[in-house]
Amino acid sequence: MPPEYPSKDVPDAQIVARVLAGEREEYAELVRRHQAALYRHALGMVGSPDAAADLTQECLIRAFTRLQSCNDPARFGAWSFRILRNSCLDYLKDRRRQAVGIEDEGVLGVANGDPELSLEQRELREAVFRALDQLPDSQKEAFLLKHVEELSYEEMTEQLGASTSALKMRVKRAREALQTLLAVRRGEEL
Amino acid sequence: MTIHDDRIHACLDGQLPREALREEELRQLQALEAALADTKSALDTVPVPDLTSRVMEALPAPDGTPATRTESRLGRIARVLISPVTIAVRPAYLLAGVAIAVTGLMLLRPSEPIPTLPPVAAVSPAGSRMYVQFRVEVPGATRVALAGSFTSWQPEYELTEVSPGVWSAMISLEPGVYDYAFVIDGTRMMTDPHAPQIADSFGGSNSRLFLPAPNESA
Repeated sequence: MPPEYPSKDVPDAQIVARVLAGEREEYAELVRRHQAALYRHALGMVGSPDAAADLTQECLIRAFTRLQSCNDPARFGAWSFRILRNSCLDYLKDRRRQAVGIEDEGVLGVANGDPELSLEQRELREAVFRALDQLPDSQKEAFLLKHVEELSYEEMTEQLGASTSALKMRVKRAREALQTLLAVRRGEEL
Repeated sequence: MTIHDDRIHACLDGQLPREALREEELRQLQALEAALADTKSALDTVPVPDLTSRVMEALPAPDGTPATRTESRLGRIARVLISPVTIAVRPAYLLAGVAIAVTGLMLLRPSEPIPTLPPVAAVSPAGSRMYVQFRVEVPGATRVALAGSFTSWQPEYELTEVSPGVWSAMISLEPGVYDYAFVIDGTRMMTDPHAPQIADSFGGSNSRLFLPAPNESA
């Protein structure tokens, strides 16, 4: 059973050091801390809960096997995010190359099969995932970091390696595209 | 006025107070905010799974032995989606290459250290699968394993120390193009110094193996 930490006071860097020293089971705490943010980003990027879980799992395994190359263990989350980001982009490239859409990935079916969701929530989820799927990858990831993970543009610059002005433009275009696509669902006039 | 004014986005970015917007801009701001709220709400309806057990069970063991391999859905998709790229080559060239490598090894005196070589392939009599020998020199290592795109990057194949510091393993593969690396003592990755290096997605690199189909001609 992985150890439970009484608080979040133990910094990531300390846990990374323990894992590298051979206390492998300590890695579970890093997984617990960062999996939600990683999963949310993967979900927004690929639109499929199953694929997002697989990508997140694969990212965290790769992060473990490459932990020695994590130059700033205090920022394990940002470092593992970069692994996930590349995996998501590769996944989307493969999916486009094979002309596989989100319908084939099952996200819409998953939404329909969730008894906890109202009809309106199901329709909203479907509309949002379809809309996100139509955004260019660069706009989509910038949008998700800004409005789902609520990062600052400075933090996004560090994560994505693009200038603040470029990121602002991507977020702006993504907002406008999403508004347009979702307005159609609501029957709004543009 | 444009429908999506930069001032509206500046307001969304917290760089301009709402009060500074004109009536029409405020209406547009509210429409954008509604779309953002819808998006976030939709994403929030998907519960976040706890992957802790899945991840921990799939980690390579501390002694370098492979973890129990559970093929993920992504792996299954990837296996279907990513078709190996085959490089056309005359079979005679392949067989000649194998012959040269084997001859070179036979000519070495037993007292000389066994050199490391690029992976050497030989056609299996059983069909299209080929036996590939991986060999690497890692002085001081206690365990060396092989991981690659053909194992979903799990260190499934243990190499044997055939002479001091020289590790070797032979595995069978279908023709194709594979990326791989050696896992040293279960803790660090090392590329094959005798194979082409390919940058990976994480700022590092892997080794690449081209394995042409024996029945393909150039």
